[in-house]
Amino acid sequence: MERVRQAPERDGADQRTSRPAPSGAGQVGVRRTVLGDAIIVVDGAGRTFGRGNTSVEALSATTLEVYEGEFFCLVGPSGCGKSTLLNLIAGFDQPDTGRVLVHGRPVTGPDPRRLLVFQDYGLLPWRSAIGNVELGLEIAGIPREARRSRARALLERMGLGAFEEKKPHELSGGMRQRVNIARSLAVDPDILLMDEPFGAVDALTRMGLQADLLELHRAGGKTVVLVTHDIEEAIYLGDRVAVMSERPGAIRATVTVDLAWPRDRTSAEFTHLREVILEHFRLVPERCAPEYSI
Amino acid sequence: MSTAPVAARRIVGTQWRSWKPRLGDVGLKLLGVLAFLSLWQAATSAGLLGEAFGADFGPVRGLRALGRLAASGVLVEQSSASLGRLGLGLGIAVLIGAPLGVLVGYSRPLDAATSVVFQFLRMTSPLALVPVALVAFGVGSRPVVFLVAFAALWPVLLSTAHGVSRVSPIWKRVVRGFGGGDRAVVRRVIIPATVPDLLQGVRLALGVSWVVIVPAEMLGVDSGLGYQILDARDRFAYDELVATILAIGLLGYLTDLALRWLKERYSWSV
Repeated sequence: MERVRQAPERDGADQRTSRPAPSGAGQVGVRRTVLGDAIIVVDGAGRTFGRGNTSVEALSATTLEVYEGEFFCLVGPSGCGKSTLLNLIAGFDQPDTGRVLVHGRPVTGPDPRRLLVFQDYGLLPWRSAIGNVELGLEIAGIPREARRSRARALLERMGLGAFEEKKPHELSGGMRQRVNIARSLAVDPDILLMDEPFGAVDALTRMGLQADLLELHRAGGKTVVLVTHDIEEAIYLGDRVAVMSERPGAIRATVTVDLAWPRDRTSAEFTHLREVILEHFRLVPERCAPEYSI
Repeated sequence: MSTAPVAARRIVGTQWRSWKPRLGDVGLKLLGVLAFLSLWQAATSAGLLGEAFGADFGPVRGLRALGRLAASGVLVEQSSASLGRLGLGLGIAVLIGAPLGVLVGYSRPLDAATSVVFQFLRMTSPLALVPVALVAFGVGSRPVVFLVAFAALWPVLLSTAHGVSRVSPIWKRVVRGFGGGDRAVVRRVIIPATVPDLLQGVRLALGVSWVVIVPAEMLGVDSGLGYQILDARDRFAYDELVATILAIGLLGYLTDLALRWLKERYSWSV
């Protein structure tokens, strides 16, 4: 059945939220639904690395909420603290100030119910594709037969049925990321935290992976937080897009994407949203080296 | 355009290079062995090494004696005595060295605390420990096994530790992300990632073990290839002495070949 997608926005929380208002977008009334509880709450969380003179504030006090089943994108330049924020939610790191709550409880460490999907795949090179997909199931103590059939089904679903015995170095970048996503889905997490998952593949492969991810998200009802520096990717995938500023990272604005799926990257509404988001980056002073720019 | 022919030539070039030497490789190896044996034979029969080194010390009589020893079963008997001690010593070294290497590679404080002691012990000649071994283990196979294990331990330990320290932190994070603890990290990442380095350590250890076992078997045992060398000397059977040397070298080469194959099997590439 088709869930009513949430397009949550709390006017009080995001002062600088920009709302796209292209006439053709319509459907706003349909999409705005009564909000459930936030599944992820980042409450004034900040993170500084190092001490004294050499310390670097990676993330200044950040507040955001992600709702159950939402596809939430964080977009910003490299080094803006997106990954730091994702690590805090994943539980690999703790904030110095503020707090991070998932399901209303403070995050104290990693948990397979909220999985971080690594940018460079993190596949174990001595394991075959199917062996990699089984990893999380092994750790969860699932019996051999059950995990084999589950891993096989997931690889089939990702279009990798013929490659289950291949080692990672025999697969292309896009295939590796598919194995990585299959491995994450195998343990059926509530929340997928994706750190630039398609950063290392070519543009066409990336679009294919984006479409697949969207399909998985719509079918599975999982909450996804995806970090990217690709504005188009964020608009194509996200229910909402949070725009982050350079270091120390902070959320500059949150943009709700009121576009129906499948989204047309060339439509006027899409282009308008791109402009809205780009506008936020133009406000940033020119103090970044070129390689840090979008 | 000129790029296509260049690329084509390069492909032809690699085919040539990967195909032709394979034939030539075996031939060159055989040629090298033959040249070495001829030089050796010439040196002994011409008396180049002095009058004491007669034709008995040459490879021709040595190989003939090797055939004789093989036919009489002495060779198999003595070789298996040596191989048994060697295997036992290496096995003990792996059983102790591999887990210790994992611990040392995994924990920086432990590495710092042990590095001086390990390097010191590694540089201590096992043969210097012969009196200690004899006092501790008495006469017989046990001190020999101890000396082999002692010599083999350090390459295994240090190579394993080195392998562990090269493990990508991302693999560990993946396992932790799935809820795995330290034990899961060791079992699913550290050990499989380190096996090739461990086997490389075992290869090094094997070489040292062959060096150590021969003199070790000259002390207080009445079997093994080291014993057989002394026995041949005492009987003035110099051709058998040469035969035993040939047997040691051959066994060392074959055991190393087996380990190299094993290492290739378990090695992985990124």
